[in-house]
Amino acid sequence: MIISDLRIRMRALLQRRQVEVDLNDELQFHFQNQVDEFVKQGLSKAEAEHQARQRFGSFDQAKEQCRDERGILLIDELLRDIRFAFRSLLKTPVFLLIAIGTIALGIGVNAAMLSVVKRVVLHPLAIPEADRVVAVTTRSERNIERSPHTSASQFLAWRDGASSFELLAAVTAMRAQIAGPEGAQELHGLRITEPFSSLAGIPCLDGRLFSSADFEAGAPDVVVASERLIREHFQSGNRAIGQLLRIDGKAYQIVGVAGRVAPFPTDGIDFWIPLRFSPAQLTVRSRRDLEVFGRLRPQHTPAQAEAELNGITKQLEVDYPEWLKGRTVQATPVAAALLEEYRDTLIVLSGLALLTLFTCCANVANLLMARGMRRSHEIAVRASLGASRWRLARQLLTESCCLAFVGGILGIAVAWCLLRLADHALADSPFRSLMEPLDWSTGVSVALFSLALSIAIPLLVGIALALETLRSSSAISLRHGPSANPSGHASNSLSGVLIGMELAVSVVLIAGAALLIQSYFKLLHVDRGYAAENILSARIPTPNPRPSLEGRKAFFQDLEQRLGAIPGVTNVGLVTGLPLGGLTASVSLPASADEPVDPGNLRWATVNAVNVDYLRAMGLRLVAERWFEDEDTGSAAKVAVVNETMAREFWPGKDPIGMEIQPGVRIIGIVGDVRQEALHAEQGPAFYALYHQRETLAAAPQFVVLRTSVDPHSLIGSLRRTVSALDRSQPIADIRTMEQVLIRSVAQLRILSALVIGIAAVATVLAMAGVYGTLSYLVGSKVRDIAIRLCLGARARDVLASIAAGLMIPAAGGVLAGMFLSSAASTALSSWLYAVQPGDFTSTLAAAVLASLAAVLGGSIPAIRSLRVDPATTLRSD
Amino acid sequence: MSGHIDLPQGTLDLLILRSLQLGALHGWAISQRIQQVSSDVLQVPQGSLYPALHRLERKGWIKSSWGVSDNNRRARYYELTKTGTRQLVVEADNWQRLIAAVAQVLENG
Repeated sequence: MIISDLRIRMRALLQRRQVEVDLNDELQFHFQNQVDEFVKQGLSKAEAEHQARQRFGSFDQAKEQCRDERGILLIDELLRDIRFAFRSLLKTPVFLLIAIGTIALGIGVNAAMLSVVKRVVLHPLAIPEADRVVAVTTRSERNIERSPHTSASQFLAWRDGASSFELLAAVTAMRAQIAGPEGAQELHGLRITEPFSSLAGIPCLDGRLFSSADFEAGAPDVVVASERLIREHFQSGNRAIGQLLRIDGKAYQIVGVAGRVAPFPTDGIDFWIPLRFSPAQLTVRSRRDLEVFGRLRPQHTPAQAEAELNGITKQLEVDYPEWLKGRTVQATPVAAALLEEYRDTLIVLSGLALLTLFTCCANVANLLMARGMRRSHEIAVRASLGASRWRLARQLLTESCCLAFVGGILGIAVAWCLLRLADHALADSPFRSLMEPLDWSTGVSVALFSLALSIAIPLLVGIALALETLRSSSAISLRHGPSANPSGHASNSLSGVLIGMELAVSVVLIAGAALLIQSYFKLLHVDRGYAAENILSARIPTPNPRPSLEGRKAFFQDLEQRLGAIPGVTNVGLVTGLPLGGLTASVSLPASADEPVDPGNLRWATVNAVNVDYLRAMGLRLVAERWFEDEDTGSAAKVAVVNETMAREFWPGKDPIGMEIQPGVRIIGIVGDVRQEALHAEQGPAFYALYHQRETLAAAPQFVVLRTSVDPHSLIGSLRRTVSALDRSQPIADIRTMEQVLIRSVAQLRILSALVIGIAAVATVLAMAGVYGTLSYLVGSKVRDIAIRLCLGARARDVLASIAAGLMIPAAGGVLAGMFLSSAASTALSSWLYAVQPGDFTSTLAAAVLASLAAVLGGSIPAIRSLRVDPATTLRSD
Repeated sequence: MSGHIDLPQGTLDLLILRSLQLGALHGWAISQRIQQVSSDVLQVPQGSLYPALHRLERKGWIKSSWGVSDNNRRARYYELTKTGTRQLVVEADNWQRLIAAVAQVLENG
């Protein structure tokens, strides 16, 4: 039954013409037979036909009834409705374009942002079984040691003893020099233990990943390289597998090429080397330099793992109390930690997405309502011609849905474009990992959700309109003529409310943008403690294998001389940690120079090995006494310059000049604090020492700073050539002007500001368009009233005021509401704000003023039009 | 058309099924058959017959095929399906029970 039912329905739908022909033939056959019958009974042919026709009744009615029986009535009517909907939509192309455009924009922006949010929330880290992966760290109670890392012996004890883990791996991060075609390059890599490849899900593009044999003592040195490294170091066409890569001077054979990996444990890893433990590392007192990651067995919690690992550590502690006492082990889920880091960004993105969607929907609703009211005359005519109310209502609904559907599809295209754009634009920024490739399922589910939303709103409006149609009296509509709006009062107030809400959203967004812009500029103009114009900086890492101390010092002296000789260079500075350069070296100092070293009472300070010219090169501020001079480089007396914070904290209330930092190192001056880690973070204790007087390469200068009298960009080439002429194997990286360094350090804030400004602009333009459209419609529909009142002597201004009043009140209300909401909403931005509070009144006020201006601007054209109404022509033409 | 009784819809279905029990017929033949066998009492208007035939076809109780009639015209022939044959028995049974019940009510009130 069902099969035949479907078959007939399908045939009725798909072979429409043939089915009609069949129907006609069948009924004609019956008719002819009836005629023949009458002829047989004795009537003439003509008489027979006449009788038969009477008997038969209306052909068309019979056909209609047969058609109804085909079972596709609903679909048939729906298709007809859709065709009609498109025809009537195309009659007003401007409305169509604006409506579809607005829906597409709203859906597009919304879908793009929600896709990103959803993907990050569901898969913050693209490694297998990410929710079971934890980072294992060690905290020391006695000493707030900087490093949460683990020693080899501890790791091995865990690996052999712990049962909570499916996989447990250790890694050491490396920065190593790779000899490349254009000189040495410094790249990031990892030394890994065997389970790491599976843990991180490293995809193998060519060759193989590591096997157990690679980790045995005495096995040949092998490396797995990233695709990018292979691309940059080998010509395409040569297979990289089997070739040698010189890492820190040592040759490794490439056994595999890795594809795109998740940023685990960090981003930018270019090679992996097997980690083999040397006998020295296996003693308990060895250095803690391993990062440990593990994948828990299913059903095991991090807490269980922690308990187990702590137990194992305690057993070790029994044998070696003074080294291991007081250590606690923690297991932190990595995915959750990453999510926590992104939490604020995600909240802001979601908020922006929903606000955009809301504004677009409100605008579309307004458009639909205005259009619906304009058609009340047409609808009244059709109703009087026999169309059922329900049928008319359904038609309006279909129109709204068609609009929504087309807009929705376009919106998905817009979303796709936006995501491609963002992927490209953010390729170089801290937000990059947010844009990891989206998989199909996320995209599809978000697309469906957005589509459903896009249909829901116009549907609701369509229903409201349809109800209005069902309610309204046709007679009145007919009488009033095509341009009247007899029963639209409810819709008018709804329009007003929507405009008000749109303006509120505008205010919130503009205020947010204002806060971010202020933060950005305040950050860039903060008292940094150093100059930024006409400074070129570059990183010159200590090469591997390490040179001798004397050799390195000679290198620096040579470098200073040669760089100083470049035309356009006024000063040459060398420093360990460039401000905002991302690298600092710290040293622990005893609480007081006189007392013995007590591990429980150490203080940390940043150390910078510099040359004499650094102060002038970097533009540091000298606060007290003096900086280094050329005489200090040769003398045996060790000197240092401290910063204000160190002076204040280490020698409170006393003058540090002449005091000793470490035995034999005398303070000769104080300089101003600099913004070192980030522009918003004040510097901790720090001091400077001459590299000539250092006794280790530990904190040797890593950056060179050139103060120039010409545009710094023009000297990039000379800098590179000079360095490689001096030493071909010296890598040089991160050549940037100080201005570039500054801007990079606020990249996140800049990107976010740009985004919020963009969305705020869109929302404001939409609100403006909404005001324009609504007021325009109001004026247009009341044009007769205006004409009459002008005739009766009213002033044009008063007439306008009464019309606009209906709109002004909700608009003003919206702006006020927006002001209240923005102080709450902008707390979402607090992690990016600097020197400005979320509820900052100036920003809120500026936002309110801008939004109001936009509203007034939007309404100005219809207002002017209303003032120009000529009573005579209007009344005559109706 | 006075003197003729109007047919309720369910009954028409029953009559069509019965007419087809002995073999395939086209629409005209079905209406003639019903008229003749009922001695002209039941006349099926074309406006009801063909919709009913199409409805029955959709339900799967009869199936149609195009052929040539006695007078060399293209005609659509209907015949019972297996399901239709079964349904005929059920419908006939229901009908008998219905008229028995109605008769009882009329007699005993």
